[in-house]
Amino acid sequence: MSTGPTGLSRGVLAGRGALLFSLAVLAVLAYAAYEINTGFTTRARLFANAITVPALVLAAFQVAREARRVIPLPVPSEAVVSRSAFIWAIAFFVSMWTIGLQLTIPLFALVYLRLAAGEAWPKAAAYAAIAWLFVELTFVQTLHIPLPAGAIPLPAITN
Amino acid sequence: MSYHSPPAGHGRGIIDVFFGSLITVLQWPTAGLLVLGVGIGFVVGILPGLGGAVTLALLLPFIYDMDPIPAFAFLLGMHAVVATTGDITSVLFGIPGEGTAVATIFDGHPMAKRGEAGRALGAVLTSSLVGAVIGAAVLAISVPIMRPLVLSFGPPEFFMLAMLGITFVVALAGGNLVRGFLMAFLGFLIAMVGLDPFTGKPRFAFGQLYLWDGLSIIPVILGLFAVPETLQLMSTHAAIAQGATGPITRVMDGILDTFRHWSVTLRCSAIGVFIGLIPGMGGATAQFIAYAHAQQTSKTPEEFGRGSIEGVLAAGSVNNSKEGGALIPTVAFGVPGSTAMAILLGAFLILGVVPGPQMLTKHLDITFSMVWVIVISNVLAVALSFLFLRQLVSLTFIKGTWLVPFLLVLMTLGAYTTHSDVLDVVVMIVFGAVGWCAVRFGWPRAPFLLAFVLGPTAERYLFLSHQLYEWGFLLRPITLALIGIALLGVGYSIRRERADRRSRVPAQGAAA
Repeated sequence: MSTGPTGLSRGVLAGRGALLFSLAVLAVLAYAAYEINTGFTTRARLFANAITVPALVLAAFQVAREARRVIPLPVPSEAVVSRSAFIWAIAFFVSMWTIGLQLTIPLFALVYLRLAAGEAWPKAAAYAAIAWLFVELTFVQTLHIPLPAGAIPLPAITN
Repeated sequence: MSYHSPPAGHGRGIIDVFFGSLITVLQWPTAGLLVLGVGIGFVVGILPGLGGAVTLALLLPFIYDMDPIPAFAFLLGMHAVVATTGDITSVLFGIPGEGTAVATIFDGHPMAKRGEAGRALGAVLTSSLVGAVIGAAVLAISVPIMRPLVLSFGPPEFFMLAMLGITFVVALAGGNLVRGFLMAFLGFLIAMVGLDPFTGKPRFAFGQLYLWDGLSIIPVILGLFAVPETLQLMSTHAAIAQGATGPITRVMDGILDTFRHWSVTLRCSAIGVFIGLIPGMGGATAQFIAYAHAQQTSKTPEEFGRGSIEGVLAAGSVNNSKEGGALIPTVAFGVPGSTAMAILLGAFLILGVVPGPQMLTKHLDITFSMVWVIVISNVLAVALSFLFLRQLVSLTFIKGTWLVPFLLVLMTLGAYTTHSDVLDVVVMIVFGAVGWCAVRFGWPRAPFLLAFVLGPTAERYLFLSHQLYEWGFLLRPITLALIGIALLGVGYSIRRERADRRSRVPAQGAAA
């Protein structure tokens, strides 16, 4: 673990994150227990209570353990995700929501491969075209699956 | 949707069904889908950052309109060969294509470095094939043995088996016991979303009509597993292979080594089958147990880790034999022992096939077709590996970033096609966040998935057990035995956690 200021602050954040996640789990379980025990018959809540009662005990224990933890747990290598990765993923879904998947596929492929992967424009453009063609031929033409449309209507482009 | 197999048992003996299943698997379109699945598994095994379980999840949306046998030929064909080609990168570059191919590095890569890459590949691929055939044979042989046992079980036993499966996955999959059980409880809770099966009243639906049908398995699985892996892939820009490989020669020597050291191959295959049977142990554990066994019983243990052919054979044979073993509890009891098997169980539910006694009676043809799919897909994979070894190696030079746009599209479409509803994509994103938090803070995802898949079945069996016997169902002999085994599993895990903690304390003290 890094001992520099950046590493330390990251470690503290990771420790708080683990506690927050445990608290969120406890809150979800508490809500579930409340809802099940206020609106269901005894028979209907049999399984739910068999789950939520021991789960609440364990979640409270886990929260207490995280609160007492002084040294944050090391971050596993498979969980190391760069900030740019999150931004690109969010950009993909926002684009899908606004302009629809049909336009997002080539647009995202082109921009991502050029800017994030550093590929040359012709390579990125070729990939974008192939990706669009693959989805169009496989899903739209062959499997007849309509692609999610965007919130902004773009009939002139997509039709 | 429900599937009706041709009648088994009335005029059709087990042997007839067994060979009839082979003919079905070889017919169109099943054979074509099997080849397609093998092709995908081939590439997935060798590519960086893309696991077999994630690919299974990505392929689930494609099986909606398929019959069960073609669907399993496609899915199992893909899954059965992932570990086989995963060994290739372990040998050539010292980087496992799959988590289950780590032990292959210990001796396979040193062999490659001293110019025996071809021999190591010949040995690991052939022993993988032998292991797969042994695993499939055990699955086939287990059918007549398991049938009377499974048919004697009632709701209490099936309920306890589901609990036992989850307990084992939590206890043996590593990580923290409390977090593991909490993830399982959360999985059960998420499985309860929707209309209550007994009163018809919405549970945890928040007034949303979308939630009345419950959450679909595909967006949940894609979110939990595919989203975190894709995010990680987006963060690593490098290709798996950085340099050129040496010449690949003496492949035939490696093939013959498998049979020269037949005892190691057979024993490690048997270890794979046995470990595959136990929920939660998984391939990652099996490979090290088999490797350690091969070293302990070898006449030249000092060569292990320096390029021992026996080490390569041990890792190769255990890799694929575990699949046949893992399918036994999945098919016979509906209790999957690993993430991949839980996803496969999800496929059963999508196809309208209920795992359990019917898989050994009414749907025996599906069970036997799985046996043939494992065998045929591995024969195909090994034959193609030998034919296109050089071309396969060139795949490892693909950068992770090239896969990203394709994976994002496939994930989104996979989730969306569940109901052609954007809310399914939202569910995937929500569970993607949960999956990433789980990986980040060390909460295991497999118990969550297993509980989510088993939730409705477990609830039904608990309800029936309580209706039939009140709480007395917990005192039935088999139920008591299963409770005892579950407690042993938990006890073992607690002991292991304490031992780990004790060993960490002196290490930290020394470091300080």
